[in-house]
Amino acid sequence: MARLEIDWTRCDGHGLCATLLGGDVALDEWGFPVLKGREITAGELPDARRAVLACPALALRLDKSVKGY
Amino acid sequence: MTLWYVARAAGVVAMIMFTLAAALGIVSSGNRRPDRRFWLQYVHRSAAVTGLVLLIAHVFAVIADSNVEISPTVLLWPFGSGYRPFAMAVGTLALYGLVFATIAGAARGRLARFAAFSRYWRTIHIAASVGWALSIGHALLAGTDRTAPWMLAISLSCLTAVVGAGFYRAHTYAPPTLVRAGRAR
Repeated sequence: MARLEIDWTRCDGHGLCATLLGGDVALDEWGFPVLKGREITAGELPDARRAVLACPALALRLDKSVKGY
Repeated sequence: MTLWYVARAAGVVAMIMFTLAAALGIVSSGNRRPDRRFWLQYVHRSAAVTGLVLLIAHVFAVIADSNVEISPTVLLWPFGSGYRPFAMAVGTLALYGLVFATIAGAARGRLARFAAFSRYWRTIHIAASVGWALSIGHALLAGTDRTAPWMLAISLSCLTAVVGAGFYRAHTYAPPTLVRAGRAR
């Protein structure tokens, strides 16, 4: 299990995360991501990893240490 | 002689692939459409990796080939090759740049947790892309076909493609904040 994280010091609101992970990320009215806070299942991990690598600002992260709240 | 053909073909196609990678890199990082940007970025990476594989084939083939005298030591010390020393030096420096640019690009995600790296990686990546310009110089200076019209046409189109991408980028540049301000939602 893993959870997405956004480094707000890096995020520029390019919006690739919301395009690639529509189920986990929405965009606010200024184009910045809003996480839906869902757990990323093992099957979704490859796509989530791809999205992390696609972030132009390297602001999207995958935190694998979180085991639910 | 077969190796010499392989060397030339791999070299030319590697140059075209890195040109594609460079042009797409310039265009994609200025693109404000997330879906389009993702695909441009994807093809940019694929082209760079294909180019790197062909570049390695090119280097192995020219060293292994007996037609020209190029010793493996040029990889460590680019100057003083028996065959066209200046062109070979330019080519080896191009190799360093392109390999470094590809490594910097590939390491991007892995080193993202270091703040210093993520701040400077784009600068490192772009600086290393100077290897691309050197590769065009190498294509114009070395090789059996360098003065053949079709080869000159390929080299110059590669140059034009990247310069064109640069102009396109400068022409369509819009800071993300302005794009966002004009975004109707």
